[in-house]
Amino acid sequence: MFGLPTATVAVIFGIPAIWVIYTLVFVYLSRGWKAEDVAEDQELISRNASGGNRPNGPATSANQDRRSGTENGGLA
Amino acid sequence: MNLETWFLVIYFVAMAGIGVWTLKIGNKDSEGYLLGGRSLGPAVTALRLQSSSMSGYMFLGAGSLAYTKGYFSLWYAMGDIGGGVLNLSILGRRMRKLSQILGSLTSIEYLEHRYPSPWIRAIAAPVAVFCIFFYVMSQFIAGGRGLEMVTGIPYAWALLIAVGVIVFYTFLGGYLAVAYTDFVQAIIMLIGMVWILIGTLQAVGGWTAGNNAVGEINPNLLTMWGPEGIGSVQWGVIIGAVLVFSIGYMGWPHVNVSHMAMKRPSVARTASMYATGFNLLFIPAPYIVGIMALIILPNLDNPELAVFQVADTVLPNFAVGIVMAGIMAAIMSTADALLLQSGTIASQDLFQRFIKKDMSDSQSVWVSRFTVLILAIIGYIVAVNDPPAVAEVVIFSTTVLGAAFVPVYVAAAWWKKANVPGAISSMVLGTVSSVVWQLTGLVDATGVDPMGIGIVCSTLALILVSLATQKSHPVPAHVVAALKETDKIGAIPAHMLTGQNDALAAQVPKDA
Repeated sequence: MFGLPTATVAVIFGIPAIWVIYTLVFVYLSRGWKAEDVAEDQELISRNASGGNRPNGPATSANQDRRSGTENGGLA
Repeated sequence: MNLETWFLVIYFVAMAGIGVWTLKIGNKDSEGYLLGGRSLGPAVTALRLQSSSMSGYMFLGAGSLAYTKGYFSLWYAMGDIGGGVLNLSILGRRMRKLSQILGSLTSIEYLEHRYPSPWIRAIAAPVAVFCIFFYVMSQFIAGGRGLEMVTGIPYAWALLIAVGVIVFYTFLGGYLAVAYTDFVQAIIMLIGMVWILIGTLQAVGGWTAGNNAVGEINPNLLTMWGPEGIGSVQWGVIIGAVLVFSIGYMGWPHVNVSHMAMKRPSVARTASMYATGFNLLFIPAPYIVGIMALIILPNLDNPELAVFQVADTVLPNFAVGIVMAGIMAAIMSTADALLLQSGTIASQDLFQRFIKKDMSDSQSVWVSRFTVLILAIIGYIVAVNDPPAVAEVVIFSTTVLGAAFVPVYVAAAWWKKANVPGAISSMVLGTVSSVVWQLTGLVDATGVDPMGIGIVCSTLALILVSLATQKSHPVPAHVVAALKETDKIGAIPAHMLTGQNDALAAQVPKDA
């Protein structure tokens, strides 16, 4: 096929096919990850309601507003 | 000024424009400058990850390898195609979540938080900066040479322009500028590469006709065993070739930082589809163009210029300009990511961690910028005076990075027993074994790739030393709690979010 030996065709089409299958299986198995987004949104709403609003939403790490000396990395 | 040069000028101005556009966000604080405020979606994450992984090597090294080795060179592409999805599926969600819980801003800092000891950063940061500096220098050289070829500007000036544009937008906008320029550059790379491929296949009368013509030169070039046939196959090199560009990515700090900058942990899922799609379209193309160059340009003096020269031969003038912009995009997208990462490591992981612990956010950003500038100047001086071979430097530095860091990054997210002594011994043994294997000529003597040896040594060291030192150096309870939280699918509880502080190695969650 394509003027190539069979082994070459098998490798250059077979291995990419494996990666495509791997991707599809990963996407299928990780379908539950969307639940994490919903949970994060709910967490954000509850934080906002309790006055803990963050400047960049749920994605922002704690260091945005925990750099004070009293926090001391959560040791306080 | 010719048409190709105009395209490059427009391209350079556009990249600088993105730097100016992201200036405001980049200046806000360290998290804004270093991680783009953890705001990136799947498309930007995936294409940034892919374009920063694929350097000028794809246009220089891949074409050269294909020109000299034929279809054997596609072993590198076979690993490369799965590199993105492998990285995103294994590290993506977990590294994003764990780095947020631990309050890590850099990929080296993340290692110290996961393996709480200042030695982790004291070892990881210099190894990373050393390898990244050489890697970025090779990209400067590739950029300078490419620009010299297209515009006819002397190499020293071409290099200065290439370095100047990269530094300009990295300096201004930080991670966000790098991420958005990488996203645009990935698209330009794809368009450019596919265009060259189509033009090349048209020029040789189609893929089948081209393969038949290559087979007349040497039938072994059509096999996966190299020009000397199956008798000369070094399976160790083939396995190493697949490993370098598949699992090797998981050890590259400048690539792994993409996970930490994702808007949400679940972004990794969608990003994996973009990554695989991009790789399928982009990665095989330069290799096939390199092979077909044997027919179009049979007497090429420098095989590294195969893709450049084929583009110049088979495409119309205006298309050559766009394609050259794509080639510069591949070079610049890697160089900017490397430059930012080395600046980040120097400022956050070395200066702030060990020298001036009470630096403000603003000071930290400026130290990072100053470091970017200093490294660029040193890189320029070395590259202009005594430029080493691009492919050799790239393969050497990426091999050491992979061997040193793949096991510690994977175990950081997945193995609760991975502890400080295990991580230190893994990084040291991975670095030393891959460097020694490369420099003492054992690759040729044994036929085994240094990446393979390095990964085996660093993995065994991590497992054996971690298990042997569980009692004397147990994994801290707050790290185990963070890993358990990372296992779960759900929002991170507020009490788990640890603040960043100067005593990073000792940080624990609020309720610990």
